[in-house]
Amino acid sequence: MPIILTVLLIAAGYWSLNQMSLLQMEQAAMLPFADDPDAAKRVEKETGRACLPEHLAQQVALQA
Amino acid sequence: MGVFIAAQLAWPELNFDLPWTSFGRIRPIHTNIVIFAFGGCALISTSFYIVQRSCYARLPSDTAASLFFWGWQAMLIATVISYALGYTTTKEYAEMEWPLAIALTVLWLIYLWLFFGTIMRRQTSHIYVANWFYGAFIIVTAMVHIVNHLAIPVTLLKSYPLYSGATDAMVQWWFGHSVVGFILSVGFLGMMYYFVPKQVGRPIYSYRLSIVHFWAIISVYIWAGPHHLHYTALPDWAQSLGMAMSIILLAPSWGGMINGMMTLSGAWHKLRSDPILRFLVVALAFYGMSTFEGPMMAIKTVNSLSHYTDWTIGHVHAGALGWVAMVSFGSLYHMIPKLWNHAEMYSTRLINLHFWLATAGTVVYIAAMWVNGLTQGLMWRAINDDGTLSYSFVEVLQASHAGYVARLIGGSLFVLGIFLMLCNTWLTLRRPAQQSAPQNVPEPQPVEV
Repeated sequence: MPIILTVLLIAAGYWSLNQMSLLQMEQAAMLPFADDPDAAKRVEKETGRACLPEHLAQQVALQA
Repeated sequence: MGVFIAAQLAWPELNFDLPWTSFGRIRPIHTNIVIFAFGGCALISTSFYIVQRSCYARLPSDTAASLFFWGWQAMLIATVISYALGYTTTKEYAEMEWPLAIALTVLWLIYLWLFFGTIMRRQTSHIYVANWFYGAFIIVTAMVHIVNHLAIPVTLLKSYPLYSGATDAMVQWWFGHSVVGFILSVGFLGMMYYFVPKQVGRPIYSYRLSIVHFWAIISVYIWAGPHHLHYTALPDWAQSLGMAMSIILLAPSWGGMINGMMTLSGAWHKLRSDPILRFLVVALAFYGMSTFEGPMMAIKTVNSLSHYTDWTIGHVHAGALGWVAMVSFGSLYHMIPKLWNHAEMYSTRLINLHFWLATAGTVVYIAAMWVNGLTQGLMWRAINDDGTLSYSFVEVLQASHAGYVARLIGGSLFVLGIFLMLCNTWLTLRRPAQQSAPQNVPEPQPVEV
């Protein structure tokens, strides 16, 4: 049973890696900055990755 | 509590000859407070903070969250009182008798629903990796707690486990090491994956590595428990399997540590002026150190020297003080001003002083325990030509006394730093808020990540 579970976990890891492109991973890594407009702009400028749309959605969601 | 029992070990008179102040009763109070009160509350608060902010959704129920908070505090207080009165299952980290174990299970299920309920309500297609770590910590903690606490109650405050002998020991240490692995490692790695990028102001070094790290660590950690039972009645193959899995565990552990450290690439200069970042980076350094030391100590030949000595205590505290507490301090210093609408904590100088006290305290503590551990291990195994022991147990205790006093000094420095944090937090909270929430916000946009 534990062996089957471990094999399943490794398969799940392989599957989740294949599910995302490199670009999607780069975008996902920007998620933590979406709650701070100033930090978001600064990180966008430094990395060239966008996170502002995330921020706009989050501001509304957190206030709801 | 830790400092008090450290003092008891140096000066046993501090047991006061009272049952409820004896080391045997206070020690489980200390470990349970660290794991469930300090570690638990730090993980619960940061997980709620992170999951709401990275999923753009509120918790499914404020009432359930409030119930969970007060229930958790009540359960912890009841646990402390019951241990002081001597009601215990005698299983390490799982000393709580069956009514408290059931209370913890119910509360944990509420927590599970609150956390995953928020994820279900998320507005992003992707779930940020920190939440994966928190999710694994919540699920596995529930699983091992329930399985290890399966027991037959005989009275309201006494029960006997379903398992016996070596099976009971194996289940206990499957639980015990999963507490270390999934509460004190995986949960706090979730904290690291959110707060290190936030404090550095850069995305995590490799998101791909964080995914590999996650799946690798949850696949391997659950297997490492038998290394707590080397040279016991546990079958030899199970001990060797536990040892092998513990050594393999070094790879994902260091993968995560390197991922966190490399996030500072090009931003190392920030360490000069940012004590919060220093907390987080030193925590990662201690994490790397203790996850190297752990697999080494799991090797049976090394374990024959280190087991039952203070080396193990030093290893545990390199993780608990150096990693768990430091990463929590850094995260809380980041989180507290944001929650109370302040730009920063009241005093950066106090954070800096706290950092140095915590670092010095941890180093003094673990150095004292390393020296004691090696001394004890070597003195215990020393034999004369005729095969008799070279040293009596009391002689080994006498040799350890200086280390016990040094450990007390290290622990006291660490606690002093926590009092500074408490003052700094109090001064921050009583200041009037400097930032106001934005009034005009645009319509929500569908988010695809």
